[in-house]
Amino acid sequence: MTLRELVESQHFCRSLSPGQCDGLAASAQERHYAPGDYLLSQHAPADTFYLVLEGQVEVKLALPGQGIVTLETVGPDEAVGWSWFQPPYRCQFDARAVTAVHALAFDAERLRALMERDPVVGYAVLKTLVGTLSERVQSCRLQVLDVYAPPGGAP
Amino acid sequence: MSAAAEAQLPAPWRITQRRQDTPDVFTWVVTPLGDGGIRCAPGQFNMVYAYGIGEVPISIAGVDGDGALQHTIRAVGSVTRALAGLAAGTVIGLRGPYGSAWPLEAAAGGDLVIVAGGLGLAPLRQAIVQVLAQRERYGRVCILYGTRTPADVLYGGELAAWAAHRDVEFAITVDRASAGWGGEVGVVTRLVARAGFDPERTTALVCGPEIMMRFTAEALLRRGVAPAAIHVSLERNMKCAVGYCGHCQLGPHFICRDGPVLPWPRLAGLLEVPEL
Amino acid sequence: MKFIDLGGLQALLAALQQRGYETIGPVRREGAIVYDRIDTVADLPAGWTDRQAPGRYRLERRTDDALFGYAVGPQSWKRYLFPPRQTLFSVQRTDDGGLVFDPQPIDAPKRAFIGVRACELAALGVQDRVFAGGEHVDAAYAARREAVLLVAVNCAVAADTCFCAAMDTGPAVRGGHDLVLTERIDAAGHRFLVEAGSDVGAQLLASLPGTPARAGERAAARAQTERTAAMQTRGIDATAVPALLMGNLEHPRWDAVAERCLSCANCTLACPTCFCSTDQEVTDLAGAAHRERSWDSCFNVEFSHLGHGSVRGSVKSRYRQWLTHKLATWHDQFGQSGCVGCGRCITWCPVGIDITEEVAAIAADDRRTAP
Repeated sequence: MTLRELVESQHFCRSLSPGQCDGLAASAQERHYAPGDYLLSQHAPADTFYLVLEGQVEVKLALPGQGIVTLETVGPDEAVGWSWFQPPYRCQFDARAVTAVHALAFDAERLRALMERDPVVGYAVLKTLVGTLSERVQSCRLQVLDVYAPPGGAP
Repeated sequence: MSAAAEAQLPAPWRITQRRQDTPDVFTWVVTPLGDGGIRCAPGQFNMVYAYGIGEVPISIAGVDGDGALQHTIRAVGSVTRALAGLAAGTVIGLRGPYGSAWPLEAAAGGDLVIVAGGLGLAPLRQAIVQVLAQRERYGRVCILYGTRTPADVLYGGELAAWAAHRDVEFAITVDRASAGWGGEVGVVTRLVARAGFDPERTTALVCGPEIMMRFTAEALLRRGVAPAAIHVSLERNMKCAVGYCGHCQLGPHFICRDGPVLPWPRLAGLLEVPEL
Repeated sequence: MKFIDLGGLQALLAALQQRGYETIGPVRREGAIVYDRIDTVADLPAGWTDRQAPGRYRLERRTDDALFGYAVGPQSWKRYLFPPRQTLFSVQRTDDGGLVFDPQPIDAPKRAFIGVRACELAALGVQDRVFAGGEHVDAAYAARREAVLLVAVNCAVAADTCFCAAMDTGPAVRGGHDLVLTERIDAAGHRFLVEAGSDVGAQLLASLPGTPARAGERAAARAQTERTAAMQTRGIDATAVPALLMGNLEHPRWDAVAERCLSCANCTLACPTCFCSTDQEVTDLAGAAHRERSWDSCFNVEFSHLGHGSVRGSVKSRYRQWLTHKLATWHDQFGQSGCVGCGRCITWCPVGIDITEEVAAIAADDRRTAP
């Protein structure tokens, strides 16, 4: 599949015109990561928005004295990173490839500019982003509930 | 059901094997003494009796060829904590089977999604064993298992075999990873979105904590699975197991008799009401 | 159908006793009319009636010597068929560590219940469906029930708390009895119109000394129960109530009633249909264990206990469970209401919560949204 076709096959392009897809494709690249490679690094500039095409990515955080903790894993058709959307555009977490990863990488600055310029594109991308966010928040709430914990509190 | 089970009279069984699965979960293999064997279907449960201690409902985790059964038990209450202390060789009482079963016959010919959360894998284990033994009767089979931490994973050896099965999509995820865990992290509901099944011809079997089952059912509904094709297994306090004692009621249902396995539409509007 | 006098009633008790029945009927004890063994007519509460109101019960003298001139007392007949405590089985541990389970022998004595009201007959029918009407039959209950002979009484008075007419169970006896009495005290004296409801009842009736009653006497008996029905002021719209309650599970009235409810379980113990029980392990000093079943109540917080705690932790949720089960989900489970309108739960509630008032309050503020 060409880059243009890959972009067009994404969910948020379904409501967009060919011209609008071209604009998105112009800000995108295909990227491949080997297991262990970092897609995002904590505190680094959040300059990329990833959509995972294949493979698995883990979102991690280093805790003093506890090493690096994996908070969640992200798979195909899921977005990685939303710090690119809000100032100060800094990554909050690490994102590292667990398996070989094939992803679409959008240049954040160009994407933001495109979204500002064309609110139809902006809304389509935002819908994808909000969908991802709401799923992660729900997932996170369930994790916080610790539903499998033994009664009387977990060790 | 046997006359003795009807009369709520246990039969003596022996714990022939005992395995500690996790710090608070253990599995027994139990065999009947005398002619006390039972016929049961995956999803049903037994009332397990320990002398001088009491009786608790425990799902049937396995049906072995020689009439032996497997029960996986979590030590959470006074009775189950006492059961945890019983050694292999101990004679216990057992009556059953009680309750409804997973609809494995009705599901044949279509895809099957089995979603287990935590100890909810135990009531599903025998269903999985049975499905894999008759793999050709089903379309795609997805087994999605979520649990708390890597240390809480049940039936490790068997999971590896399910994962290696070339005609099964198997995914496991933990809520909290620890060092050395190379698998997925996140709640089990997220696996539903990615699993490779055809919603229009899928039967879903879901077992785990009630909140996990609610969110899993919603994830399945979002994928387009019909409400009537989603089956969950509920847990309630049970004493008699035959609909007399009243403890297990949820709205119009006696979970011991009408459940524990119920199709989703029969629970519509009930699980969402706090403390019903 | 014939009239008998007090001597005839005594002859009925004697005939029952001769046939091996233990006769159980109303006696006055500790300020209430309760059911216990009676030997002669003299044991019956002649000349007493009960004055009932929410949270209130008092015995008062009547101006006559009516034997059945009260409504219903705190007890129902359920304690004889579904005992408050019963042993299910015993377990012996053998020297080699084995277990021997001995079923409890079924004890089903022949008993004649004297003075059973229409609502109580209905309640027996409700419990029959619970214990013996489904796939699983409680053999001990069924045996005890089978051994019972029922001498019913048409109610001549209604307590302030009675609402059997609204629940369509009384006050006239309509079936399920062996004999039914209508007590009459008038110029002709103190007598009972006796009608048979079964073959056994007909045989007994034929053996009693009495005078034949004209066909018109049945109409007079009916007029009496109609007057009793007319005395009733409380009611529930029995047809509408299941959907009303299930459509208002989160109604603020549940919070309001929970402010008053003590969760004491009196209503469930007094109720003639409540059937919930719990099983306990009891060990004796000789080394045997016994599995014992005793009455339980959905008002007890442990009733719904699971590993993490109780499903119904709040009083609100427990009151809602009781009321919705009694009046709504009982229909789904057993094809009828769990309430017979006897009013015991109203009288014996220490704070006077009135089931009919609670239903009316929700009906008056129905929060269901139109479908």
